Amino acid sequence: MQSAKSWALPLLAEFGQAALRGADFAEVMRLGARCAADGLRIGKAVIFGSAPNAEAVSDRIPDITFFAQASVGWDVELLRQVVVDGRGQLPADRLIRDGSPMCLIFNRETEGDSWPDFLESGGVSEVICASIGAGDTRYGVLEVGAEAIGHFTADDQAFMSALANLLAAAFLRFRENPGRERIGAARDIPSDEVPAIARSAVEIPIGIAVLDDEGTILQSNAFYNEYISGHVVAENHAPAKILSEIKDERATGETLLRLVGGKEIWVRLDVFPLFDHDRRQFGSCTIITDVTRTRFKRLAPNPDLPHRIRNILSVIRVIARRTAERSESVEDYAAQLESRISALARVQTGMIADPNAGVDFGMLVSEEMLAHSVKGDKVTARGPRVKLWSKAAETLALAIHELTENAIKYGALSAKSGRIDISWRVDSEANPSRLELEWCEFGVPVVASAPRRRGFGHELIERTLPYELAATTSIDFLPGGIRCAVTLPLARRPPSAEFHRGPLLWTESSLADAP
Amino acid sequence: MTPPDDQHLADESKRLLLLGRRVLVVEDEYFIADEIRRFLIDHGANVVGPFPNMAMGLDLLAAREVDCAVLDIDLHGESVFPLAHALRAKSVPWVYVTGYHARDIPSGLEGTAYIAKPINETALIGALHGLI
Repeated sequence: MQSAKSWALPLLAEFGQAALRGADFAEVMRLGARCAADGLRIGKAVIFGSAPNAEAVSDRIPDITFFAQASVGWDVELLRQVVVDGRGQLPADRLIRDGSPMCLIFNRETEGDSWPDFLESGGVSEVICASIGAGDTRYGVLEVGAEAIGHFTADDQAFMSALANLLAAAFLRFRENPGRERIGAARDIPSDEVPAIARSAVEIPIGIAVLDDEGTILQSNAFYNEYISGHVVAENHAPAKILSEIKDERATGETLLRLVGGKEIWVRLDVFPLFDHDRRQFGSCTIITDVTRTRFKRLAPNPDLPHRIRNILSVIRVIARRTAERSESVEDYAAQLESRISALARVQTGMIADPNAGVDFGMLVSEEMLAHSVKGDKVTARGPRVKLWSKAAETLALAIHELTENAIKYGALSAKSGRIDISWRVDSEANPSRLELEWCEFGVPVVASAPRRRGFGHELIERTLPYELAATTSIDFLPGGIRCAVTLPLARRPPSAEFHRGPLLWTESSLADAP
Repeated sequence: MTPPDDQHLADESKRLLLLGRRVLVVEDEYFIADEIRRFLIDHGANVVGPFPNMAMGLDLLAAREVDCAVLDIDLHGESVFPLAHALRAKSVPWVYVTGYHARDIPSGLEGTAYIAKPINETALIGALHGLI
């Protein structure tokens, strides 16, 4: 389970209060859009939905018609023309039609001609859309746009999903009071109104409860009551444990519940503290979402896996052969082969678990250094966060591995005074933009000279990288150590998603220093 | 001097089958592509490529004649089928080398053989003999 970035949590908790207590629909929507914009650190957010007093609007597809309810950073005139009804080609339409996913990312590159005019006019190249409400009952769509493709991450999807859950709770509250845009805060609703909320909640499979600081339920819906009376079969955190431990921070857990009647479902629990205007906690809000379908999907075998395994086996076989050709003894062969397979295994582990997540280049470098117990003062690694798609990660990991091994045997890591400076940058001026990587060794006392025989590492850098990743590469033997430079185009997503469902080839997410 | 037995003669004549044949190779993984190239060269073939993507394969096909082809199905997320289609239009036979199961191949583009990775040299060469 991806968790939202830590800086986004207070925003969610704060909005949780507005969603459940806010008295003014427009204000709650405005705060929701602001929360989305702040949470994703980008100033273009919009909530499509239907106002609670809108007449002749059914909750059910295909009769839904959503209009912009609130926005931040958008030209309101542009949004006024946008209608989301689940039938058009807008990303929001597609999200509604697709049904199951809670949150999706779309970009202009993959959407091609169907990229909507209002996004084009607004200078937006990528949008992240989250469904407000689930199943048959959708209250709307939360959408945030970015100028650059590759802006949004899995963290952002988790944040958007959590925020959309809170918005669903808000829509639910206001929908219970048709014809009124202003209603009392959730905790002010007299207890005899609670059954009405419980009744309506049959439509939306999200359990919601507001608890006071003693843990007493002030308000809950039918789904919450059903879930909470279920028997915990397996857990990351049991609901009771979460509820008792939550004091002043948000918590998330997943639990397998056996409901009364025997049906088993996986639920995700999100608990947010609620603060009053003096920043005193007056209670907490618990949201329970049925994630059986998404969890099942996650546990289902990755359809790409057999293909990947066969490819990896093929690569290992060739590496074994190449290593044998160049080894001087059986011991040398065994040691080299083992370290190469380990390098391959390190980068595969994460990719097999989640082939869509991408591999952070900085992590890849630091894991390689860690595997060799290289001391921090010998190596500096600097560069922006760059996520690599699986093949690029695999080949670059092998290349970094060969450079490291070489440095340990003959280069900077074999010499007392030696050190390595690894740096990378993204040149977004170039078209297509490209990653420029430099590996510089210093302080190697013996003046380096080009080796007589080109080894496996050389082949990787001089042949494999150009062949597989269209990279240009160079290795120079300079006084003091070697210098290796690799420049590779930041390829976009593959033209066909038929075989790889991964959303990214590369994303440059932030300019934070790599570890 | 003992005369070569029948099996040996059969092997020798098979060996000549690929001699001088132009074999197009499209495979996105460098090491696998290089392995295929070595197998083919060992059997006297003229290797055209290998190419890591379909566009390069299509360009080559437009410019030069080839006798047969070895295709990987998935080229970094891009399927090789348009190239298979172009080969069929030119009546050039091909075999697939892939980690995919045969059922993933669209009808009409089945090719002559399907060789699962990791590639067995005998299987690949045997399949190519079947094409010629």
